[in-house]
Order: sequence, then C-alpha cells, then structure tokens
Amino acid sequence: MDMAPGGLPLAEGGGDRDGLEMDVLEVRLGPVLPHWPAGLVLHCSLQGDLVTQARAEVFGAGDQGGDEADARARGLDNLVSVLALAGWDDAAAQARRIRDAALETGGGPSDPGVGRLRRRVRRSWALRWSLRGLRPLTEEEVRHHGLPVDVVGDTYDRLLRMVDRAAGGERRHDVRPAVWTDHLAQLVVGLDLAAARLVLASLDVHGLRAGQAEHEVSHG
Amino acid sequence: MVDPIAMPNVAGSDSPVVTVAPGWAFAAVTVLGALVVVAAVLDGALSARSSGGPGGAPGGAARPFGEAARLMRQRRRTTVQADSLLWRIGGAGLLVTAALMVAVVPLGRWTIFDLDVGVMWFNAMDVMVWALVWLTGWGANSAHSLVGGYRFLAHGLGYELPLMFALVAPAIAAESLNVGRVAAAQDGLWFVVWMPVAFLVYLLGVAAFSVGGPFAPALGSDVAGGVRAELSGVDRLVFETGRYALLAAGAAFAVPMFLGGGAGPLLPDWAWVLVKTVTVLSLLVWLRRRLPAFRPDTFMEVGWLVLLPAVLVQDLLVAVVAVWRS
Repeated sequence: MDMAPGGLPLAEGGGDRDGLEMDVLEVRLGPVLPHWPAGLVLHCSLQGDLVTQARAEVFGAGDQGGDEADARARGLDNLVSVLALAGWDDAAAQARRIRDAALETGGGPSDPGVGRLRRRVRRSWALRWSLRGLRPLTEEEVRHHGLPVDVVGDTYDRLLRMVDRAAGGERRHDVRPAVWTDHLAQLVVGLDLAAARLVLASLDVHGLRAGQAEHEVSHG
Repeated sequence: MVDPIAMPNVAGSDSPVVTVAPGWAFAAVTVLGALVVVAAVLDGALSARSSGGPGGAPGGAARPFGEAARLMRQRRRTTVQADSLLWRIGGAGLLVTAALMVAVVPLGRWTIFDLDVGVMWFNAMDVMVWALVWLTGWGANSAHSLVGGYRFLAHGLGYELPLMFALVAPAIAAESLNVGRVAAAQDGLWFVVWMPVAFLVYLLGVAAFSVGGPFAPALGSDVAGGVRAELSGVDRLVFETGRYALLAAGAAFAVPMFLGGGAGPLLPDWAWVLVKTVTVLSLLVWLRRRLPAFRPDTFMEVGWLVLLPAVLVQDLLVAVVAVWRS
C-alpha cells in the first residue's frame, strides 16, 4: 500500500476489536491543544475514534514551577478542562471565572463561587452517570504508573477530588509531582478519543517528565 | 366496484387547515430565519452571562451578528482531497431540512403543505440529519471531523427510536398522521398534559438532531470542533445557521403535536403558534446549556434501556385511552 492520493498516504487496515478489519489513522495530538497538558505529544493510532496504540513524547519538559498561586490556578485550569471536555460549558465558564479571580487575588482565601461550583458538580446526575466507571485506577496501578495518590478511583472520583482541592484553597501540598509521559500513553490505550481526553484531564497533570518511572525500567 | 385510483380525500373539505399558495413558502422561511435569530441571540446572551458579566465573553446578545459578519469575511479554506460535493451537501443540507420540516407545520389555519402523512414527513427529515451531519464529517477528509461524524451516529442510534415513538403518541391519540388534524384533536386538552413523557423525549430528540447541548460531542472542542472542524467562512455560517434552524423547526413542530396548535384566548391562532414556538425554543436554548454532554459511547444505554421503554409505555397508555374513547 503505497498509494498516496494528493500526497497523503492511504490509511492501512488493521484488526478491530470485533475481529473485522478497519482503517488505522495515525493522528498526533498535542503539543498544544485546548484542555490538554501543555507540551504532551501523543502519537495515536486510531480505529474509528478508538485509540489502539499510543506513544508519548514531551516538548519543553520539566516542572512548570511557579508559586502556590500558580499551582492553584493550574489545578483550576485542569478543572475547567474536565468540565469542558465533559461538554458542560456552563460549569466550565464558572470554573474559569474562579480561576481568573484566584490569579488576581494571589494565594488569598478561596472565593464563595467555589462552593457554588462544588455543589453544582456534586448535584449533577448526568455528569455522574457520564464519568462513573471511566478508567478506574486501583492504588496498585497508581503506584505502578508513578501517579499522585489522589487519582485513585474512576474519573468521577477524580473530578470530585479536584473540586474539593479547589475549594480547600491554599494548602501547602498543592504543588503536584510531575507525571511520566509513557504511563499517560498506557492509560489511554483502549479508550475512545473523548474518554481518553477526559481521563488525561482528570489526572490533574501539573508537570510532565519524559519516559517512565524508574521502577518500571528495573522490571525490564 | 371500488375505483383503485380513488385516494382518501387528502387535503379535502374536512381538513382543519387551509393550504396557502406556494409563494408563501418565502414567508415561512422568513419566520424560520427570525426564530434562528431569536435562538442565537438568546444563546449568546446566556453564554455571556455564564462567563461573568460584560467583561467576560465578547458580545453577549450581539455575538451572533458579530460572528456572522466575521464568517462572511473569512476566506474559505479547504483540505487536501476533500470530497467537496458531499461535504457541501452535508453543510448546506441542515438549513434545507429545517425549511422542509416547517413546511408541514400549520401557522394557525394556514399551511404550506397539507400532507396526509405530515408526522412521517417530519420524521423522515430528522433522519436525513444523520446523513447530512455524517457527510459533513466525512467530506472534509480530516480525522477530527470524521471522529465527530462517528460520535453523531453513535448518538443517533440512541435517540432516534425514542424520538420516533414519541411522535407516535400524538398520532395515535389523534388517529391521524396529518399535522393539522393532530392539532385539531387537542380540543380542550393539550397532548402535553397527558403524554408528558413523549413530550420530554421529543424535546431531547430536538436537542439531538440540532447537534446541541448534551448532544454536542460531535462538535466537541476536544476534536477541534468535530464535524465542523474544517468548515470555514460561509460554509460554517450556513452549518451553524442550519443547527439553529433545526432547533427552531423542532420547537415549531412541538406546537401542533403537543401544545394544541393555535388554540388560546384573545390572540389570533397564528400568533399563538408563534408565541408557543418562541417559548419552546427559549426553553430548549436555556435547558441545553444546563446539561453536561451525554458520552456517545454510553448514550445508547440511556436511549434503549430508559427512554425507549418509557416512551413505549406512554404509547401503550395513549393507545388504551384512544381505544376506550372510540
């Protein structure tokens, strides 16, 4: 298959989940996308909208630094991302407003809007139904992937914890450890594109490191 | 002997509506256009409010006009090896479909097209949206818009059957598929009162075939705008207008089906149709902002395990009442 109409190679076929052959599209996501960890590049093989393979790279790696107010704003940014990716623009706009206010006031006390947003997110049955059971992570998996401990559970649990962190305001451990890119790639394989984006956003990534956690390497 | 050519009297003497001259179709399209503006302005105002006051989002209520002006001046962009014909058919088709939908909606006593199977006609049009949205996603030869197309079809599998059976309920009660007769059959008691489930499922269906609110993942920002990712300039304007037009047409069709058509005190019947249409339209625009998206890969569960049984039970109840009354 080396036909290339218009300079674009034709999609090659590959076995799908159901055993039928389906076109494989090679799509690169990142390094710059809305609601996406900055600098992450994911080379995906898509069948339909299902991610069948993924390889991660990172541009401009390293901790993004900044003070606590920045970390808090980054957490709120990620909250905006989850809400926007869940298709809830109204709540995402609300979160974005809180984030802007947080940047203006610095590390000051959290504004009452956070409480309103928290109640709204917790009350939404449609959101719960939509995010429940999406890529659940056990404690063991979290350790294995070198992720922060607070991402245990499914995407809905992670979202609630993000909202709680935002409502909790100025605590010292707001600065989160950087995440290994290879593990992110492993997490999204087998999900469709929308779910993969939701899962990535729900991990509340503040910084990226190329490669994989060291204990992984020693396993071979 | 029965004459095989003799048709049941289609738009005959007992029809509750009057078919107007075809030229009035322009007036119908104008009304549809006005409804599109109402919906877009309301949507703009609501989204400005949720982004926080005047400084937040640009425009507010004026946003649709600014956006239209911007798109009209934008240069049309195309992609390598795009399937232009199918792509354009898909993009422009939504608007045409919406116009064909309102052709069977009576404005009080007047209708453009007094079709004996008007309810089926509307249903056929909303199924056509499947093809049009898919073609828009397919034609651009872009992975993101293709993913958008897949997402819409996945939603379609979930919403279409409940929507069809929701439309069946008023038709059973009125014992007719003629939209004018369905409206006339609600003398005294609107169908929305005793078939609320069908009405709600219908509204959900309208949000779905206008690719909005909880059914917007096909246009998601995570896939660069999904189906419309590569649409630019006038093409994009026509596509967006088509979506609002479908929403408006869906709201207009709810009036004869569930809300008693032109029935109401004081005002003439055509004015009541417009008042009810604008009310339903505003409700839809407001409600669809309130809900997060239904994920396309799991919506089928809701569609077939919750909505479909609910609306079938509704149909059964309506059928029992209809038999008992006759």
